[in-house]
Amino acid sequence: MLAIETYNLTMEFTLARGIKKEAISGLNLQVSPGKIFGFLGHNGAGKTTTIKILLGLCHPSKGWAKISGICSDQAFARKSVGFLPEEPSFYDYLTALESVMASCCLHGIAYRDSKSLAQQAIQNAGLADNARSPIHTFSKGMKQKLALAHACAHNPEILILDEPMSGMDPEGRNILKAQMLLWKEQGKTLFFTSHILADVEAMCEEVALLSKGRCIASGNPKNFLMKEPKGIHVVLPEKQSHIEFPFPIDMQKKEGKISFFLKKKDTIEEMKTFLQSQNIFPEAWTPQYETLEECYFRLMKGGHDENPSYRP
Amino acid sequence: MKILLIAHNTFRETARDHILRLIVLLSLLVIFASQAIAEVALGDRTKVISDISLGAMDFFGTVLTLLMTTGLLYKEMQKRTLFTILSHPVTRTQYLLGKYLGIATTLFICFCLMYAFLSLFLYFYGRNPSWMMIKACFFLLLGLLLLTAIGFFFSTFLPPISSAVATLLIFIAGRTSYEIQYWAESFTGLTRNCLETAYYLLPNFTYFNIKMAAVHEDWKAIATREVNQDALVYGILYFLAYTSFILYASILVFRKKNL
Repeated sequence: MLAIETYNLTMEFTLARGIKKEAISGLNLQVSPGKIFGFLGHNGAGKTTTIKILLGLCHPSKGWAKISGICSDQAFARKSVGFLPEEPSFYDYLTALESVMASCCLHGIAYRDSKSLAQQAIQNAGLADNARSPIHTFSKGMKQKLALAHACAHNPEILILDEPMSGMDPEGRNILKAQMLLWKEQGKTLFFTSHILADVEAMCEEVALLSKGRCIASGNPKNFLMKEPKGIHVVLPEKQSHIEFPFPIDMQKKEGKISFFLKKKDTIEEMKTFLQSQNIFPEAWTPQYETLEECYFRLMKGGHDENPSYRP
Repeated sequence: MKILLIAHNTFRETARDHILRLIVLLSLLVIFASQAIAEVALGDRTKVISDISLGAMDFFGTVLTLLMTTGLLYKEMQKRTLFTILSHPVTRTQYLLGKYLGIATTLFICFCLMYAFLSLFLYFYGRNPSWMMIKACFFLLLGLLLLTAIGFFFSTFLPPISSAVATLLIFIAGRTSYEIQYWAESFTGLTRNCLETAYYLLPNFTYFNIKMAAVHEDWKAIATREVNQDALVYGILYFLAYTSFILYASILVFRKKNL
């Protein structure tokens, strides 16, 4: 059974003067259990709306969304879900401990067990010293950490994280990254959105790229990153600093060494021939592959993925 | 269980709210200050104190109710605290009922506090606490609980100010129900039908206003329509039926809302 599944998910809003706008259009997603799934898209692409539907906060105009095989409209579907919102908000006058305990109880954990679970989660989130402080005294980063404690205190099987790194200090981000890898080891499913594509690329086994409410690519990032290297990074030794190249090159000199980047295939071949003819042996001749960030921008510019592993 | 938990959290949240504490404190101050007016008033001083104090409880209770209910859902949506709760396995029905119970508990505690203060005050003036006074406070509380349900209903689809105005208008119209019925008799045709429909549809808050009988301990009045035993039972049943209906309507609207 899939951890998260959507079929033809469409969300239509009525704007002023009765104009209708689709926030999401025919979105199909399949997230396998135990995977880290990255959900990417520009602002207003429909990421948060999708998450809202998954959490039962919005009702789709068409299609459906399921969590562990249960329709997301059912409150029971969220029993095994932990949610970390982009802008966490809590009842200001409650203390951190009271708030996380309440969260555990709402997930059906007995009151007597909820205290120890809440304390543990708060400690793991790095807020042990503030457990009994009212939340209105917390900074944005501390609230984000508290939201992390909220999301994982009840030991959920599926975690939905909406921009989890935003607002966190480097320490908080490290805590979260470590926690995400721990969740991964524990076999939990992670569904998260982020603008920090390097994080997504480092952690996600599957991603979906969303643009204007439509999925333009989804699956393993390796499937839609360009197979061919985007160019070659060349480093020449110090003694070659006087060399004259057959074509203009945007080179950089650092500690006497020359480094430059070749994009086009013909210039690469020409450079290879030139260096061989001059008996010059580069210190480095490294193919550079497309990063997820570059792929993201390429696809966003209108280039749909040619071979998406799963396309609506 | 989940309803009680949400109610408990709502109660804790509202009980720690400084503005609400200030309003309760103000009502206690008015009860305390009523002795000053009683000193210069003609007649039984305890009646003046009771009259002013019940009026203060009524007024500040209404203010408390409007503050706690009318902007509730809107503010929770703006602050996104609603998402924090509803992203748990909690239905919207459980959420609304929990919120209602939490606010009802806060109002109950506030009224207990005000009544205890008033009773103590009257005791010093030689008037023992009476059942009639307890009944008057209880019915004032029932009226406010019905007002809470109405505030909830409007807050499911209106922003705070519109919701507060609508709730207040309904409250004022409900307090003048008998006047509406009386006016209806002086018209004919469509106007009469409209006024009569309004009389039957609007919540009749006069059922919950037995302050005068409580102040004057007027047993003749108690035997009349306003406060005889049947009227009190009818008032409770009316409260249960009307509040259930309004809460059900709120749940129906809230269930369909995209947050």
